[in-house]
Amino acid sequence: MNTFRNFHPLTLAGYFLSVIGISIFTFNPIYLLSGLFGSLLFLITLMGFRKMFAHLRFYFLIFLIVTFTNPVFSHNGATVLFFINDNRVTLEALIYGAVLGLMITEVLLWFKCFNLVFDSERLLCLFGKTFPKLALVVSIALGFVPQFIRTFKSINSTQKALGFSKRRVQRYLTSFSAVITRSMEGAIITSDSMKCRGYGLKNRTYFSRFRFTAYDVLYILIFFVLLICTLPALFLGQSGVSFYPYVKFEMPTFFTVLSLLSFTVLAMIPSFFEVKEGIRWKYLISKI
Amino acid sequence: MKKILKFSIIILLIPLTVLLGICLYGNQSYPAVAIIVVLLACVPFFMSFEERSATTRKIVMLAVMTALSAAGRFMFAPIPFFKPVTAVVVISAMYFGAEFGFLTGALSAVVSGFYFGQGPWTPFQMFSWGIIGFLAGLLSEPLIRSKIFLTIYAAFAGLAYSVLMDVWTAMWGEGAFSMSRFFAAIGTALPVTAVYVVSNIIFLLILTPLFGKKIERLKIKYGI
Repeated sequence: MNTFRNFHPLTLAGYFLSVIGISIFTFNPIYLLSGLFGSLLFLITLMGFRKMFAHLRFYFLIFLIVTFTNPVFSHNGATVLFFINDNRVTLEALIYGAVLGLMITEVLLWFKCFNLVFDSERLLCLFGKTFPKLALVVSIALGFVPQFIRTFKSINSTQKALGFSKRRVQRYLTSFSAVITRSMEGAIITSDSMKCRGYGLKNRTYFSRFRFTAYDVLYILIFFVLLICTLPALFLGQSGVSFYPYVKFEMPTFFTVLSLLSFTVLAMIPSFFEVKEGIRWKYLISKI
Repeated sequence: MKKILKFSIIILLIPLTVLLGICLYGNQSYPAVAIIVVLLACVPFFMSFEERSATTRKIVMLAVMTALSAAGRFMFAPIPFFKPVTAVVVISAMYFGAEFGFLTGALSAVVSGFYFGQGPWTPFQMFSWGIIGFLAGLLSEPLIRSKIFLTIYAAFAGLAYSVLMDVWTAMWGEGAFSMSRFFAAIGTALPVTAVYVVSNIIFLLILTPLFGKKIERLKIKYGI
């Protein structure tokens, strides 16, 4: 399977860094819309239509909040809509708020994709070489968390069934304390057993199921070229839009068109891979 | 020597990022620059943990404290905003030292991010909890000795966490930091901050003697 998530963690991290990085810096609604479209498409391929729409309600709420709070704090702009307590509420501030809301929604959606694709195993692969001990700590902790929750639940329900400590908070604290005792004792035993099995000796190797292949090199190069094409226009023209005192779009030049096109391509890459693999999968099945 | 060089490079990188951000993008660069700076501020702590020969017991203990604070968010899920994360971080700093406290705080943010969603706020959580833990480690002696001081620190930690996260909210809202937004964010977060403060005080006053006894017992039993 050559889906997007099966790339090496380094490639994935590079991709998300460039898309989110560009999005944070742009205030041009066209960029933001194409980024939003890319993230939504990717989310559909990752979790399906219905689930995505259920999630969207929350993001839409954030968008509305940001849009309508901006005019309260910012009174720049020439077109006055009305006054609240001698403060002007302007159309430009409202539009700026909407663009800001769009930007925040888009970045949050990309982070949602990131969370779905980039699990703890990938993070540990990425940082395991630079911070081997901390990566080990995180990986042990990730194993402990569900274990502790299970212990907590069983202790808590036992306490409840036996009728100890009627008040909820009190019972929770008692159970939490029991979990602490048990986990700390367990930690000593775990660490001793690790030591016995030779943790910290020289020439230890680490297992990682991710391989850095020629494909990864190729795609990192593609991402890099797209990034290079996107950035100059953003640096020079401040994305080609200004909001105060009037909303004004600058005339598109060769660089801005190139930049916009390459960002759109960049945003579509993951959904392209998912759709392509989906089609291929279906085609293979129908042949059997 | 090599170590000093590494640390100074990291510390030099911070003003460099700020400068670069302002030169290239002006005011719109605030959120991105802030994320990078906050992450860079965590790196020296990470590096010193890696460089020093940490024993296996210390590594597993750090994992347990981190997991306890992250799992605590689930255990107390039915009670909103009433979470033991800060308390566990402060306690682990009190008994295991400042650096250990910072790492517990920072890693708690990373680990719980895997369950509650990583976002642009994760680096800020890392830094906020980390620095709360670090300060608690520096003040460990009076914190263990006096209950009044512990209560004050618990309240301070709740306030500090809320205010540090509000800095982030204010920046994220406008693309640049504005004082009016900052105060508005503090204002709207006031009820949550109050719950943080109260829950921190409750958790720390109840959990500190518990942890103290347990750690004492472990020290006697296994000789850590």
